[in-house]
Amino acid sequence: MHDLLSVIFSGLVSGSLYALLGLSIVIIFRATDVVNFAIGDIATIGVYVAISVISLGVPVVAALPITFLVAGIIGVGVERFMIRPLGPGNMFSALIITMGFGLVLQALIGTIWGYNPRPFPPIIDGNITVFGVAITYQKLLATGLAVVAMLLITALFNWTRIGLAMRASAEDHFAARMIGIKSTRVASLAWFLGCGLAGVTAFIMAAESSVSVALMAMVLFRAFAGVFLGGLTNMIGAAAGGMMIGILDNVAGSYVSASFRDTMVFAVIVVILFLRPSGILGARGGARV
Amino acid sequence: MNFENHLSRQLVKKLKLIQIGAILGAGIILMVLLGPGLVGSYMSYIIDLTLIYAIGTISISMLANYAGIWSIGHTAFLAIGAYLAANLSVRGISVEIIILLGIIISLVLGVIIGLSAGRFAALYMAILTLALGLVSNEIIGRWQSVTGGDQGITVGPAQLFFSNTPLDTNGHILITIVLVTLTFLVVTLITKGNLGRRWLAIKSQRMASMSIGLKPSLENALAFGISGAITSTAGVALAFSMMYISPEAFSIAIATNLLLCTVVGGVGSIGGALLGAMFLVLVPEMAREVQGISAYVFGIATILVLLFLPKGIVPGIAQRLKQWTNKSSSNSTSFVAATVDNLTDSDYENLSCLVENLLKPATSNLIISGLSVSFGGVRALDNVSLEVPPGSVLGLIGPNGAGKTTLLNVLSGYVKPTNVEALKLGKTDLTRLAPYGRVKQGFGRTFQHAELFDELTIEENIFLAAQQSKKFHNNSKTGTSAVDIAEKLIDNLWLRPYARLYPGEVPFGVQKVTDIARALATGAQVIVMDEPFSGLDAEERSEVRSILKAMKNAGVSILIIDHVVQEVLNIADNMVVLDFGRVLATGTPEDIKSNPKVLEAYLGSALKDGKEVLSN
Repeated sequence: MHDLLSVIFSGLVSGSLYALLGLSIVIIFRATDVVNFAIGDIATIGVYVAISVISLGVPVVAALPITFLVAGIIGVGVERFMIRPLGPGNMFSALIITMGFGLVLQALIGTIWGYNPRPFPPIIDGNITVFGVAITYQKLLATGLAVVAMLLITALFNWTRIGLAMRASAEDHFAARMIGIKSTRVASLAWFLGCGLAGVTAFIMAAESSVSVALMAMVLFRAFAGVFLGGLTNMIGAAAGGMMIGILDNVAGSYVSASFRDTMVFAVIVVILFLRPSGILGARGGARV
Repeated sequence: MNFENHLSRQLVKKLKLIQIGAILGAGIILMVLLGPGLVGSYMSYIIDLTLIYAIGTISISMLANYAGIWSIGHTAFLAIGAYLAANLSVRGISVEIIILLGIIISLVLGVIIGLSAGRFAALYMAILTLALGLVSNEIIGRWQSVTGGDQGITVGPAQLFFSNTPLDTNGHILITIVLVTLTFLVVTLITKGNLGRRWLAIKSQRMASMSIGLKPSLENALAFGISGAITSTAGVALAFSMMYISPEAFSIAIATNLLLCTVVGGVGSIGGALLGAMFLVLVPEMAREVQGISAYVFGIATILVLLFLPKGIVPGIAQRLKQWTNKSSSNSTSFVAATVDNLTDSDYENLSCLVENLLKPATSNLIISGLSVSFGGVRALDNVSLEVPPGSVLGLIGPNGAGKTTLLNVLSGYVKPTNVEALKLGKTDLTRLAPYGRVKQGFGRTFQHAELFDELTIEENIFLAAQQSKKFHNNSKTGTSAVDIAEKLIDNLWLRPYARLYPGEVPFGVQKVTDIARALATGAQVIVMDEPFSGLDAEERSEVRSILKAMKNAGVSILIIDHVVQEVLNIADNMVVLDFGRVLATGTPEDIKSNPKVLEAYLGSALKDGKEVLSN
């Protein structure tokens, strides 16, 4: 039992990252109906830029805001120059164009920074024992960061004018325009926030190990899995789904087989879809889709 | 007959052309390859690989264009074929059996995955396929006894069923050529045939497709399974051609490239699939020296193509050419709407006769009792009860937001009631039936915005509905074929001039009449109509009026809602007035006309004393 508790706890720790990335995906989807497949690569390039800046002598602490800004600005650019020209209602073209852009970014990272993994300067040393699991301060900090980011987003969407405007626009693009909400501004902001937050996820991932082109591949898969459970239009759902995937992944990895983690996550999703086609949280299967 | 001829002629012509083209092409390639010294081994390797990937791109392309499912994980099916080939060939099992096994396994897997996500929107399906691709990578990496893990695995000699000597390199290419030819033929047959029509219908109008009895989740799953099965044969060919397979061949990078190249070449066209495959093979070959070049090329090509030729290179260029050649003769092609002369009595008689032949007289009561529907906090319908006796017309009116369309959607099975005491057709409990199950019970539906299947012509729209109803009612009283039904409906509902046009090319009134024709073709006994008169001009209204009259004469039950109250009052036997989700009044049209509560709901509470206001 004690063992299970610790497994669940470490599941929550990694789950917070999936939740954060899932949230980023949902923020962008709600505002612009685009599933952004380049989100992982945009975030990764943000971290690379941050590393380069640090190596110039800027303190490590600055890496986080740099990553956030770089990823966010790239996101705004993608929306402005690749998504918007496609026009509305081109959901799949948009999805595929982000896949293409992701490919370009991967190649760019390889060309500029090389294909070998790069070390990332550690932020904090030492560890603490919680529920019998030794957890590094670094990991704790990472989880804290993810949670704080999610709380900030919640606050933004609930208590600020622009956040409310974004929610209104997500509910009904047309009606929001009628009451004077600029949909282009909402779109830009959503891409900035979404990609920026993904940058935070990438920063945390990098801080835990090292940086490589494939930094986000594993997280992205699990974030998508979480979104599957929670629904593409449901922010709380995506976050909760990410947490659940984190737990599921760790439980399956510890008790069933460590080598087939992805497979088990996938199998569970397929089974859940059979039992509850609307996702665990009952989000409608993307009514606008 | 004209229609049948047209359809089959078109089908045969297209098929023949492609068939002959494919076989000839394959034959020529074969001769060139096998002719000694004409093509170097490197060249034949490139051609072989291109053809193998063309099998993959065409199946992805078919899935995307016809079923609207974009698969990012088709390498999983490629892997199934390849590892089957590697493991079974060393045990001396023949190529044919390996191919068959690959097809079966992929079909089953594809249908299962398709069923789990098929109920969702296609977007979720895309994400699930990405997961499938990733998972297949994990399995390949870990299931070493079968895949050889990262080291890869050697493929045994290719052995044909009726031969004792294993095939050589040229023989491997032969397998590829046969498979690619078969693939193109199968894909053409599917997409030009009933399956393709059904998939297109579901893709463009999921809801309306259910109203003619299609099962979207099942068809989506089938499309995914078939596409996967075809791709698995490419895996077999790949294994024998490479004679050694490693996990890189099935990585997510390859999966991505496969999809991107399909899009660049152009979805929904065989030429596009071939071009895509060529691109996929040639770019990395030419950019061997520098790492990352192909990623740049694929990525940038995708972005540029989607921005400037959104349909892909081959269909995009074909479209431009067509526009260019049509420009000179554009005046003659701009369609002149054939005006329907005033309806003669004989017109009406023919129509009446046809409708009577198509529709079954209703035999059972449609009963709704205690029906409530809530959306979040909004009560769209609140304890509504009504009854439609067999063969009668019930008019349903009420201001906007009264819950009329919600009521129809509950009847069609698109909206689940929050609470209901009874929803029955005779003794059949409708709440337990899915939308297509209700069609089977004789439920027809028309839509406010027509909701025709965009990518099918007017005649195909009606034909598909007739065909589905043939499946449901095998022993329909008329012995006529689905083609005949469609043909007659087109002639008698004044649709002939538009028959071969697409819904987007015809006036809204024609679309609405087509929608009604579609419902008639299903052979329903209860037809539920959502605002058949809205948005029509006077002439079109008179058409719809006579169709409705014919339907009434044929003895079907009709539930009609509309804001054109006068039309409803004229045709209805009984009326129900809804307001804010509640039944405000019921009665004959005469009763309703003079009901003060109804007047208030329609004219507003400020005008309580209607007479006084009018006299001012």
